[in-house]
Amino acid sequence: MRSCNDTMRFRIKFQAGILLLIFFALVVRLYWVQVKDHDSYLKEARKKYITSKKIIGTRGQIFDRHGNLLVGNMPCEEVFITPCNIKPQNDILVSRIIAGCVGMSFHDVYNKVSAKTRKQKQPDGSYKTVDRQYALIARRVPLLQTRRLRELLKKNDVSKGVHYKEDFVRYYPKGRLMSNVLGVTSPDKDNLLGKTGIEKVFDKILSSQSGLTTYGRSRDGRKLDTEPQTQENSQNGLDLYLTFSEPIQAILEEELDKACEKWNPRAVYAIMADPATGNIIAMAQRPSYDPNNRSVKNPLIYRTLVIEDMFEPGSIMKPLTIAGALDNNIVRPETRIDCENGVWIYKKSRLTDTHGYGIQDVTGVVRKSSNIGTAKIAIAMEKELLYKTLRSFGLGEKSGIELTPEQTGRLKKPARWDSLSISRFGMGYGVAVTPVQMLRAYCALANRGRLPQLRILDRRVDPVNNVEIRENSRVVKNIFKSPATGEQIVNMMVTVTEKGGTATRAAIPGYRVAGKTGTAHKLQNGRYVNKYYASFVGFVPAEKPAFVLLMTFDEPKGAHYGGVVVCPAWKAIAERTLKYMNIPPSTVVDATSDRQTRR
Amino acid sequence: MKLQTRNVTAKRAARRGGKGNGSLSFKLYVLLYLLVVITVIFGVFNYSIDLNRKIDKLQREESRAKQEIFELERDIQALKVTRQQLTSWNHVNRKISAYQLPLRPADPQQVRYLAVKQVRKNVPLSAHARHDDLHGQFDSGR
Repeated sequence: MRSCNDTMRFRIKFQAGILLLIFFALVVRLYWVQVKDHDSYLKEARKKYITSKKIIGTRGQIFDRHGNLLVGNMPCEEVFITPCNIKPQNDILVSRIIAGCVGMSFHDVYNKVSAKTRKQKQPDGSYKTVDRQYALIARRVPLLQTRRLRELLKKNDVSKGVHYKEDFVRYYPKGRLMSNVLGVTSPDKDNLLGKTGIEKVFDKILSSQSGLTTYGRSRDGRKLDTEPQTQENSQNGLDLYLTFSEPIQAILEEELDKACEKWNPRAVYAIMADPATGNIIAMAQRPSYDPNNRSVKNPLIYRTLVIEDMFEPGSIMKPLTIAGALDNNIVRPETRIDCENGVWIYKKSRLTDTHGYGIQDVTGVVRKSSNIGTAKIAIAMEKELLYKTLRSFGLGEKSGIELTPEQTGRLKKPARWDSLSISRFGMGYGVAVTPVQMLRAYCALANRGRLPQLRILDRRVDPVNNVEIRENSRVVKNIFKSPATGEQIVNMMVTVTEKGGTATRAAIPGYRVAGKTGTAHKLQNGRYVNKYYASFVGFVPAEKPAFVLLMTFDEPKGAHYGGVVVCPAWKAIAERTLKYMNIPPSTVVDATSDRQTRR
Repeated sequence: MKLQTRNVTAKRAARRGGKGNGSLSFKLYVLLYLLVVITVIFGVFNYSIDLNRKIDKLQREESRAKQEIFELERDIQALKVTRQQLTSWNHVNRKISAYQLPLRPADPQQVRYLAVKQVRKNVPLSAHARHDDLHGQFDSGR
């Protein structure tokens, strides 16, 4: 018979055994969870509390050489909602607040806020109604507006369901200023892609690279330091500093607008460059556009006409031809040429001057802009030399400026010239140039023969560590063989703006202005028509030019001579620019008499 | 049954060599020892909870500060762009026209030149100053 002690012992052992079994089962389960299925459980858990966020780098900004911002990134936000998280009784209030702050119509917002569900297609083809988790309200909302929106929603206790995402918008704080040169971008996934102008040419330098950060987060969305973070850093684009000067550009565009109002041309080009360095100081065209508002669909206004448009330059070509003749001793400044009293028949073709001139020296040919005199000089040069001269000034080839798509212009090889070509090419007919090519050629004249490489980029700067990469200017080649040629041709061009010249309206008291007017018929469908290009290219002070400025009006209304249409605008720009650059007059002006005259 | 149980306990106690009074002091000692250990564990546990709470609080503050910095940086960026817009010549020109400000281009005749004279050596500067004051001229002081 079992004693009581035995029964107790049995019970204790039995219970201990059961506890041991349970403990063993727990150990097994623990092993199963912690070791065997560890990865799958960890993965499942991580899905819930690990999140990743894209870090978007910012595109490089564009400045002028003084550091004035031309293209920047304006911080803004994207506003979106989770309609299913907004209580139906708050729909009207939330819609009204959002519409008021973002500047949308109430109905548009209300339609989005009140659509709480949507139909979702199932694999079997049927549709199931699910909660609507996302609805975009507006992109690129300025920070001030989103801040007000947040405040109002919080004040009315209806913030839930309205979300914000940081964003940037490419912004042009100077509006229309330099718009055709700067160009525009368009969105490309998370980045911006340069479409035209500098934005396109330097797209690789300006572009940013996105990064990705992965981290653990708490229920309220905070980062948890207990979870290891992984981070691929984003890279910001480099900032560009251009050779342009914003104040001078503003002067140029202001005067250009005044001239456009007066002469109502089809298009206008104006470029200013420093001949010594080849730096482009200002560049403008009309028509142009406001890059912050691209609703106008006219494709012409989005083109960079100064590099894309070709035109027959007319008389502004003459100094190049005559410089070649001087340099090769074909003529000298005092060589006398019969200008045939304004009408000359060459190879059975009639060549005329605006006014009849008799015997003129070469300086007179330039001053009076005689077609006959220039044609005779060109004929004396012969085909090969004329072609070589014009090529040496960079005509018929790309100027090398960092803008696309640049045209090469048109300058036929001598083998393809007809019998009249030699009498026409030298005075700017039968040859097509871009405004940039012509400007470069005049830079060479201003430089006394040294042809510079035009450039628009001064330096690149890494905004993070301020490392600067400078782009150096360079002179490509020396055109003139004789050192005297440069001075001779410049002196001739100075007479153009003096009494008896064609550009007296471009003369600036106290300064020696060298330049040349040009008036060329337009060629349409193979025939010259009564439409004109009116131009003036000049530099000042002639002895040490601070800038070369080219202006061309395409089809001005009311008058068509370069000296009448272009020179007043050129003078206004040049005068203001000289004052801005603080360049003192080279000759003393009698201010007293000037004042008395004005009275 | 009860008697037997007591006997068994008494026998076991006797086998361990314990007596009635010694057993109590031992029990008190063990109790005290346990109390100390539990207090230490409790203290450490509480301290770690407090530390965690502080860390959590600091982390919240850090993320709030980071967010504020981020927002301020965006504000600065926006203000920089706005400043550039407001200081552009086009904008200034529009304002000049709108408010009809009587501005005019600078007149070069307003510029006057001051002659900078060479000071003779070994002459006190004050003497020059007095002399020049009388004539309303300017001295370089050299």
